[in-house]
Amino acid sequence: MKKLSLYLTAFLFAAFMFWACEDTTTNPDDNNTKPKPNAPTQLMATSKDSTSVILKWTSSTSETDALFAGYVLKVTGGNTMAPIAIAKGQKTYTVAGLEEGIEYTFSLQAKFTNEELSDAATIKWSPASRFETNENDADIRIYETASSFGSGLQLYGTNKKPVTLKVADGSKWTLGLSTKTGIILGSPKELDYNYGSTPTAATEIADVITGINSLDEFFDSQALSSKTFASKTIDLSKYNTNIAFALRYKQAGKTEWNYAKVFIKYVSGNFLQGASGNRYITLIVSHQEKTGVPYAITRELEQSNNNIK
Amino acid sequence: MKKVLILMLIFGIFVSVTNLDAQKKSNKPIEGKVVSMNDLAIGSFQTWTKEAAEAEAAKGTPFVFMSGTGKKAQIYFVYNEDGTFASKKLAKYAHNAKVGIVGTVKKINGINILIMELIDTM
Repeated sequence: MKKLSLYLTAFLFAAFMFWACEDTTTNPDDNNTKPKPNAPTQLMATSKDSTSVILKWTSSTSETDALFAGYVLKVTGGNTMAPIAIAKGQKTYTVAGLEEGIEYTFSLQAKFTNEELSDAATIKWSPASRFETNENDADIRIYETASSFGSGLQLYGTNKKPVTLKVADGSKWTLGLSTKTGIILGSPKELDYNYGSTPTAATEIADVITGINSLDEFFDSQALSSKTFASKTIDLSKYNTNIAFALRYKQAGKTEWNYAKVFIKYVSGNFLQGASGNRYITLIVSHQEKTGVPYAITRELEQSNNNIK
Repeated sequence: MKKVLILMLIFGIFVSVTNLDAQKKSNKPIEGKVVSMNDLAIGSFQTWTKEAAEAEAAKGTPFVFMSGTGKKAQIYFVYNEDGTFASKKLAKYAHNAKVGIVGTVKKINGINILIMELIDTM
């Protein structure tokens, strides 16, 4: 009987200790039943200029929820930046204060008023210089074949701006224009010019984008390096709207590419502007100064559409 | 004699029309270099950087366009199509070795006035 009561006491003591320990180590968050917003989706980016990146996304489906408070954007990669609060309903945001050539990671989360955050939609991107004028502070132009002015363009000249060049300087061309038959813009090596010196840079062009009014609307969800590039020409006469495309070029002796986006203006029903003999196309260029940086390396979007508990 | 007079008349009209055409717009650019009036005065042409030329123009130094060299050089005072003096615009091109201007040339009291329609590096 004594033994039994000893066993009973020991059992009760052990049971008490077990219960007591379990109670003190319980984390309330382990059983969190607070509602959590759905993540924003389709996060995309484009470079606005050498210090800014524009982000665009599809709103969280939780925006209609009464608890919805807005979005939180975290930027990592360069100097430490405080999280940025973005209002409900906003679908784009321009992040300023960045540095060209540095790959930043942008993580966007939806937020509820109970402080709960959604999973993050993330993308990597880098700002790039935007050139609307050439080294003479004038429009960036490439002239028709018959013109006395240059039919080629060096995207990034010695003055760190685009330069229009004549055929004699063909070795420096990144892009060229031939109007012998049609309005042919493309890789210098693909054009029918007798260059004084053969183009040394290799230029490869990706698919043409239409239906945009500026490079600010040319968003990507993947690194430019993921596009399909080829040495080729584009017949502008096949288009009746502004066009844009990504390109990459590699200087002779270099192993890595420089990436850029080019926008060609379609004005008053034509790409060619000006008086006959000196007609020209006008371009806007977004150029990544740092070799080997394809603007972006995309991570898979971390998103959850059914995570309200 | 009558025939000679008619031929002279026709020749005179031809020459006048040809001269008028010379004052009209040409598709072919006039090729040359942007220089400052100060350099022109001392006859020594410096090599400009874009920034230095712009700063000089901002101080009030006029920039003009010089086609040809030596005794054959022609100096043009360049104006924008709206009638304003294009000195500051020219200064932006002073660092280029060769510049082309498309426009209309008028000779007024021996001075070449060039109404610029298009300017670019050559």
